[in-house]
Amino acid sequence: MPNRSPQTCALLAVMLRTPRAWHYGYEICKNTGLSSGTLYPLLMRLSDRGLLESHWQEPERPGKPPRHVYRLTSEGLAFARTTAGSEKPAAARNTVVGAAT
Amino acid sequence: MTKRPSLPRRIALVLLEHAARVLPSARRTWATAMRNELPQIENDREALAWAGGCLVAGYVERAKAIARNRQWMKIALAAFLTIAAIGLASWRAGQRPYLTPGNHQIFREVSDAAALPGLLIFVAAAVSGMVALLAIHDRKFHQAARAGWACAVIIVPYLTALTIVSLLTPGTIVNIGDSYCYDLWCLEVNRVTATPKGHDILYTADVLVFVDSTHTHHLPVDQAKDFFYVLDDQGRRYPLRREMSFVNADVTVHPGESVKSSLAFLAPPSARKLYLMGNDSGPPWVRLYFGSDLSLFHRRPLLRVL
Repeated sequence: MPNRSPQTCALLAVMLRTPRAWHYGYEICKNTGLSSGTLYPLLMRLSDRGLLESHWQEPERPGKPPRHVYRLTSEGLAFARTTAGSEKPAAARNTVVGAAT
Repeated sequence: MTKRPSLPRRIALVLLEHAARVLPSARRTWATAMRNELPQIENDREALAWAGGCLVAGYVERAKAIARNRQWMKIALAAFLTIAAIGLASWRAGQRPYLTPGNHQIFREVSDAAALPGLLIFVAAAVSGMVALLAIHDRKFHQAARAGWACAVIIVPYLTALTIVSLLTPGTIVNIGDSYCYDLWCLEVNRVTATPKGHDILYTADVLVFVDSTHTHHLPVDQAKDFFYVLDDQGRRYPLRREMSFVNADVTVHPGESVKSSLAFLAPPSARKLYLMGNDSGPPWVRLYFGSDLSLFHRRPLLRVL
């Protein structure tokens, strides 16, 4: 199982919000506040363990390259729900702190 | 006409290309995934930060792939054990004094057996280091990483073993009547006389100088006067009295022969133990030899005069 670091929790929390939707790497970075240097090793780890599926999405506009998109597999969703149940994700904590200040 | 990308974006592209090269081959899809996100980022600064992050991710994955490859661990362990064994054997050879008839002992600063492994290891490390640098110059980063690892696998265990052995090895103390050889030159203190002089004591040590060589050598007396000093048990230093030390002019020393001379120095009566020491720490590479009295972190040899 992947570790349950705050970064992993933040990523899973974001993907759990819209579990059936496909997510872009840059979009996940913006939503979680993670840098690409943190995000991609996490995505690779989740994908290696069969918790994440990905595919190439054709560009919406011509001239742009295809984009890699990600979503949690059923196993990934179960893991994310367990993680969300046992630990409050960093993103959620940040939101609470942001709202309080 | 296509608009030329801005400088930060061009830098970002270079970084992403480098990240793609650094990523293990099994992760190449991810390199494309990272690069294809770049056109979606409108802000140049964000694009640059994105590319920098991807480069970090590339190196993280490369490091993890190396760590996962347990063969490297086995090679590193085998290298460490081999080097430690060679080092200990060299140290033993370097530390063992030579016995002459009458139980006269000759200690050497370093033995050939100690110097040889050090020399071979550093030649191997230098060669692999050069290969790594040349590969970086040619942008062959995988080859550079392999050569860099080879260099580290040689150097790190060697320096670790050298440091451990040096710290654990007691310093050589050469008693009056025994000899100590520094490189080719050997010296024996065989009698010390003490004469009160004012508040201090003038010590005069009769010494024998000989060469550990099959060739005749010329004794550089002026260098010898600057080379030696005396250290007491409280860490105080006393220089030789130049006018009373090595008073005979430069002499020629033949193999198997010794030259009588004397050293003189002033020390206070509070100095209970006095040791003759050399100022020179030797050439830098000697500090990296196993079994050398001058090696890194090793206690310096002491020639007892009191």
